[in-house]
Amino acid sequence: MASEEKWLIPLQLNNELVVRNPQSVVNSIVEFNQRTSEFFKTEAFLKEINEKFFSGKGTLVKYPSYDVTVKEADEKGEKSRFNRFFSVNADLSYTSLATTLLIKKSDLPLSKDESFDSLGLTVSNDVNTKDNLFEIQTYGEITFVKIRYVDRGLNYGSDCKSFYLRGMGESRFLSFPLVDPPAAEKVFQVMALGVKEILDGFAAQGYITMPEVVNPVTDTPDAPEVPETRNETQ
Amino acid sequence: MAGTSKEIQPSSKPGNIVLGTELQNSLTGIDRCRSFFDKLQLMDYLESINKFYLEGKGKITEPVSRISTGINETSEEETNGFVLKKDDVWGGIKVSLQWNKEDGVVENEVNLGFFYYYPNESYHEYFQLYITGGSSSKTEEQEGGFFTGKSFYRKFFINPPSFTQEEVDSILLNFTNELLEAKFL
Repeated sequence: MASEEKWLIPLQLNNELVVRNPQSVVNSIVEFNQRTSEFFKTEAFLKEINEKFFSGKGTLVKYPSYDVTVKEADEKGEKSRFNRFFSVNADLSYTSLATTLLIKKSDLPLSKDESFDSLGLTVSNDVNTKDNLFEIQTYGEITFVKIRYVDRGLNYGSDCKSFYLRGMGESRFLSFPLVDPPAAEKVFQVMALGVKEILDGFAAQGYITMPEVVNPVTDTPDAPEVPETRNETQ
Repeated sequence: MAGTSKEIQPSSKPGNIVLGTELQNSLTGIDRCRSFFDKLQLMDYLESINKFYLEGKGKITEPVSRISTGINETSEEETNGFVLKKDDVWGGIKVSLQWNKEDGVVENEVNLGFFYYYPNESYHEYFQLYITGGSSSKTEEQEGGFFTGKSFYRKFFINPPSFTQEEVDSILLNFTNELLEAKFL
């Protein structure tokens, strides 16, 4: 069973390693995030939602990134002709792989707001390096964009646009210590339930239609499958 | 001085580092954001919310400087380095106002940030004023050994050619109304 086998391949992340080789740490965490994403079939999961709810019109975007918290020392170091030396402490805060299903307003059958631009559903696998936590977060967001200025003046050229973006969204997250992961199927169930709640919320606000209900319960304990659908109403 | 460039030393082993161009830009961006933060009195905004709506019970965190960068999947060589890429890179500062609702379970948070985005092939450089309100509750699963939570948020990005105090004030005022409507405050 997956739960007994410790599905989460142990990530040897400790401060000592971070200190000795930060480059390899970023790499290994990114790889780790990719493995967990494959394990939970994130892409297939989002593709399934795309087909079921959005007639396959959305696009999938994967975005790996890392985030660093910077603490600058009071005194900056020497500055030579060749290099600038700062005294900087930096914490690798987290490393993330986010996969987003993005649907443009024009591809949605109904929309109640004219400035509504797009709808995004993201599943991100994050490793919080400070607390050694793994987090799977699902968030849905509706974005409104307004182009406000066209001309920024001579210094910038006249083709530069300024935008005003407003987003509203919801997220569901689940986090646990890397050293002691829960059973994989349990993680997947909670995650799928979160997606369902978010989509229900969008449907209730009139941004999407819900033709079917996602069933968050998977049948196969070893390998999480894309949720089946069934004809039920809430 | 360490000879390797583009290496970030974590805080557990502080020391001087030689900065790559992008990281230098990041730090400059942070500086520029900080001066905007002061000029636009953004800290005062959080303080006034805390004072007028939360009876001073909220907690305002110290400003934190952060940088973030995307990793290009297609280039194996480049992801091997701790390299800040020019695309999708930002640097800036962020502060939070945090408070609990009476029940002690629901945790509310207003985040206010000012970020500088570096120019790339598609965009000129630009700044963003970033405000979110999030509400999250954390529950611990006894058997599963994990935390679950939920949050909802509103966020505003603004990318103007120039900021005016009035413009920012109007955004903040609207945001306060949103917080009230959403029963945050």
